Parts: sequence; C-alpha cells; structure tokens
Amino acid sequence: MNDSTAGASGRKIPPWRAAADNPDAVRPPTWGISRRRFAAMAGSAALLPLLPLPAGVRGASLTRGPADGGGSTDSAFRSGAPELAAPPARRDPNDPPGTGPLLDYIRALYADRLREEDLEVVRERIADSLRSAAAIREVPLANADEPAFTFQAWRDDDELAP
Amino acid sequence: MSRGRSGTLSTIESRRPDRVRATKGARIPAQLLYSTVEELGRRLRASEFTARELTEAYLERLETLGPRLNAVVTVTRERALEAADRADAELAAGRDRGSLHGIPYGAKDLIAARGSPTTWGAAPFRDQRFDEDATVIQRLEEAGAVLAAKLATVELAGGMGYEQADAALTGPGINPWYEGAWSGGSSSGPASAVAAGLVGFALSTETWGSIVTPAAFCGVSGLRPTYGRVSRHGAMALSWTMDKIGPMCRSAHDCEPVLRAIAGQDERDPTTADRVLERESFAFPDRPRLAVLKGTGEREQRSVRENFARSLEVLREFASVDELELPDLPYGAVASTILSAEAASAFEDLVDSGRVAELTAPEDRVKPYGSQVILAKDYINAMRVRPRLQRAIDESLAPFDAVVGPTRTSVASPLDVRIPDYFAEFGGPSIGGAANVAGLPAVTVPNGFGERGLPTALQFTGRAWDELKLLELVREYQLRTDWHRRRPEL
Repeated sequence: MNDSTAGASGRKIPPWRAAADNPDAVRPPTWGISRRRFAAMAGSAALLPLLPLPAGVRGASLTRGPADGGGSTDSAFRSGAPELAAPPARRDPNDPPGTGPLLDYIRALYADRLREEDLEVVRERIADSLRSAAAIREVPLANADEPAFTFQAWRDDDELAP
Repeated sequence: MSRGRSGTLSTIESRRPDRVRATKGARIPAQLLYSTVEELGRRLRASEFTARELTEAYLERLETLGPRLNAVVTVTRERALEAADRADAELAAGRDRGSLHGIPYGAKDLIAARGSPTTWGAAPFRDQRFDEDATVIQRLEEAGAVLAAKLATVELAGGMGYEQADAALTGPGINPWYEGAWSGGSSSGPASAVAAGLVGFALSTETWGSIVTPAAFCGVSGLRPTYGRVSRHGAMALSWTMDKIGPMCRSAHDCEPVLRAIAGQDERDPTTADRVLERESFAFPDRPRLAVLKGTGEREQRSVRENFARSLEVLREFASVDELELPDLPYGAVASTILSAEAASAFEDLVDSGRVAELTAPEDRVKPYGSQVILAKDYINAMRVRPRLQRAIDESLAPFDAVVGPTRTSVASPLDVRIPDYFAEFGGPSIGGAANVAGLPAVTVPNGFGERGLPTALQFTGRAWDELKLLELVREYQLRTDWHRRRPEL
C-alpha cells in the first residue's frame, strides 16, 4: 500500500500559466513583492487578514532564495521568470468557501514541488480545516471568552512566578 | 532502511565484550520476561536473577525479536548494562530505589536520551542527537529503571496525517498477536515491545490516541495522564497544548509506579502542575458509578461489541453503570484545529525546506502543506471554545467515577489495508477527541480477543487528575479477569 510514486519528489510543474481566461490568476512579481501585489496574486480580498507581509518582514519563503534551501516558487519571483499564471484551483462544490484561495496560496509558494495530485490532497486537507473552523463557529462566543492559553509578564528574579 | 538504523547500532555495539555476556541472560526463561514489573521486582529481590541478567535477557529479545516486529529504533546496550550493574551494586549495598529498581524499559523515540539518536521516527531526523536526557528519562533513572531501547513510532507521532501502517523510519509496526496486523499508532514500538516481552515496561506519548490505540491493539495496559501531570521536556512537540507522556505496561497495576516516578512539576516544562498524586487525595466509593456513552455497542466491530458487553457484566459486579450523553459540542473540530495549527508551526521548517519529502508515507509528504494555511482566528476560536468544552465535559463526568467504553471500535487493521478505509467500516461514540482536547486521563486494558485473534480493549476515562482513581477501578476489573495475563506466541 506504500505508493512510492506519490510525494513531493521535486518534479517541476510550471508555476505560472497564461492568465487571459482566469480572473483569479496568480501573477508573479519579478522582484520583491508588494502587499498590494500579493493581494492581487492571492486573488481574493477575503485573504487579506492572513496575507504575508512584504518580503523581508515575514521572512521564510518569500525572502528565501535557492541557496538556503528554498526551491519554492519565490525562486520564480526572483529569477525574473516570464509572467505566467497558476491554473485555478480545482473547485469542488462541497468545498467550504475559501478553499480555493488558500490552495492558491500554497500553490504560489510551493507549486514547484507539488504535483496536481498532491495539490488535490492539500485541497482536501484545507477543506477539512475549514469545515472544522465552521463547526467551531457554531459555538456562540462572548467577547469575554478568552482563549485557553495564558501569557504573563516575566522577570528572571521573580520568586512568585510559577 | 529503518531496520538498518537499529541493526547498524546493534552491530556496532555487538562487537563489545558485553555482547558475549549477553548469552547469560538466556538462562532466564522467556516466559518470565512477560512478567509484570511487580513480579520482576519480587524475583530480583529474591536473587532469582540479577538486574544485569534480566537486562541481558531483554537486550537479547530486543535484538532478535525487535527487528521482526519493527519495534526498535536503537538498542541502548552499553547504557543499559551500566545502569543494570549500578542497580545490582546498590541492591547489594542495601539501597533499593523502589518498584522500578533494576527493571529494563524502552522509551518511544520521540523522547530524548543522551548517547543515542532520537529520530522522532522520521528519516529527516535519523541522525538527530540530544546531549541531555528528557525529564522522564532522568526521573526513571533516579527510580533505578534501566533504559534498554528507543522504541519505534509513526513518523513525527503521526501528526502529518498518515493513512497507512508503513509510515515510520522503522517500517510498519507489527502486531505480536498476528503479524499480518498493525501494532497501532503512533506508539507502535512501545505497545508491541511490551506485549512481546522485549522490555519490562515502556514510555509512550499521546496527543490524540497514540497511547490508548496501540495499547489496545497489542493487548497491553496503557495510561494517558492528565495534561500537565508529566513533564514533556525533551520530548518532541507535536502539539504544545495536547501532548502527554505516559506508561504502557503488562498490567494496569504496573502503571502506577511508573507514573509516580515520572509525574510532578518540572521547571523546564511550565505546563506541569504541582498536584498531589496520593490515594488519600480521593475517596474511593463503595460502589463506583460508571457511565457508558449513549450509542455504545451498536456500530462497533462484532467482537468489540460482544467483549464490551461481557466487560459490562464484570463491571456491574462492583459498580453501577448508567448511560451518559455528552453535550453536543464540536470536540473533534476543536481538537483537530488545535493539533493541526500547532503541528504546522512546530514543523514549518520541515515543510518550508522541502525536507518533508523525505518522510516515509507519501501522504505525510503532502498533507502538511494544507495545514500551513489554518487561519489564526480559527485557531484562536478553537482555543476560546476549549474552556467551554472543558467545563461541559467535567460537568458531565462529575457524577461518575469514570466513563467506560471500547477503546477502539475494531481490532487492529491489516498491514496492507489503508487505515481510514478499515476503520470507516465501524462506528460508535468516542470520547477520545473530547478527552484529549480537555486534557483528561484515561486507562486502557485488554478485555478479550476478536478477528484474527487480535485483542480488544476497554477504556476508562476520568476527570482531570483522577489517574489513581482510574487505576483503582481498573484494578477491580483486572482482579476479575485474566485478559492482561494472556501472552502472544512468538
């Protein structure tokens, strides 16, 4: 049952394809990335709250080059690759709203290492997460309902600290 | 490959003179190696054998049967023999550290031990080493126990979403009761090693089901402590707010000394609580009140249903049994959102670097990408709903001493079948998600056998900090049954 043919084997998928017929097309900048541009790239205003900050602020993928193990689509951003557009995420009528744009975000970062069948698995994972989130939203919360984690100010010589 | 890792280390160490003396351990009959910690300790103190001889005997089995069951990552031969000699010298000098003194054990390979690799069961971490022991290893050493092996685990404790038994550096965990079946996840090695008599007991971890499931599948007793009871310092983090460490033993009675040894506050794990672990802290009722979740016994595998019905008859000999329906709240959704979000953070580097592609199970190489986009507000909402779940569950459990039910809805899945497909055939209410998200303790014990001669199991879930009460209830059950004394033929 171990399907050795699956997995992120490094097979390249052209990350960007022509966008003429795709209003949600993800377009790569050629260098750096502005917030506005990334918003356009993600193709959904609904994504704004989670969008990464401009390069150098979020760090990690969007500023990382191939030399430090990136290999994700930001290398296409940096290399001045021709402006192609990612194919739109496959829509499943049963997917919760937002599945496609979130999948597009993953595709934008990691398309060069995920095959179409891999992206299908990722899409299902995202849809599951969003369904869980929807179930959680069914529980009415008051403003005073605090999350189950605690934060406290700290000093090294505080004898009362737990 | 994975066996190669274990084999390589064993081969290197087998050149040591210690290896020659290992044959001495063979004079201890194999049947005796299936004894409980309590029995082993009694025989040790009666000078029927030394700690070194006992350790040599277990090392021999770890090296011969361990690879057959894919249960072992590293045999810690040198360290074990040093500890055994120390235990013998102390006993000879009149110093007895207690129940675990001189007893060999294994630790799930998520738990750091100096001098050995700590692979987390995953190929990208096959050479990872830590220069100190996890707190639980330190505490067991102080209790005189002998670390004999690092035991197999599903890669990264199964947190990447595996769907098959073959999702580990060491290959699929093999069930000692039927070698065509899985030993369970994620603590595959601890469960099969305890069941097969490769160690006296084992340390295991659970985020959501990883102690109770393999313990159930392999017919051993497992204890999942209350969150915060046991320090996790030195153990791999999958979910900071859900991870727990607990023992697996050949009787529930043995779980108590192990829990006593590892429990307690640790300044290196700020989530640990300074809580009393004493029998005097609770009043054990004359006739305990047990609850069964509504709908239990309807959709489980036939043998699970039948064995649970028989277990209820036994339980009714000393306890009352009522039906309970938990409030309708999204336990599973909250648990999965929290676990996925925390695991995504814990392993972001692995995903971002692309090294996730080195994991064994193909689905583990891909699914983690999906968890990278869990919205912050959804995680926080889950953490806001969580206290409400905790209060609701506690209120439901308060009138009872424990909730009992089948630990799993079926016996272990066949090795060659996709895990979700097999388990989808069966159903029934489960308290697992609710109890794990609320951090509640549970004990699982064998309660019979089912398809393919595989064990079924009975689970007791209690209110926070009620581990000793649960063990007392289980003791009453095990006094009336002998399922925990059955041993697989290997």
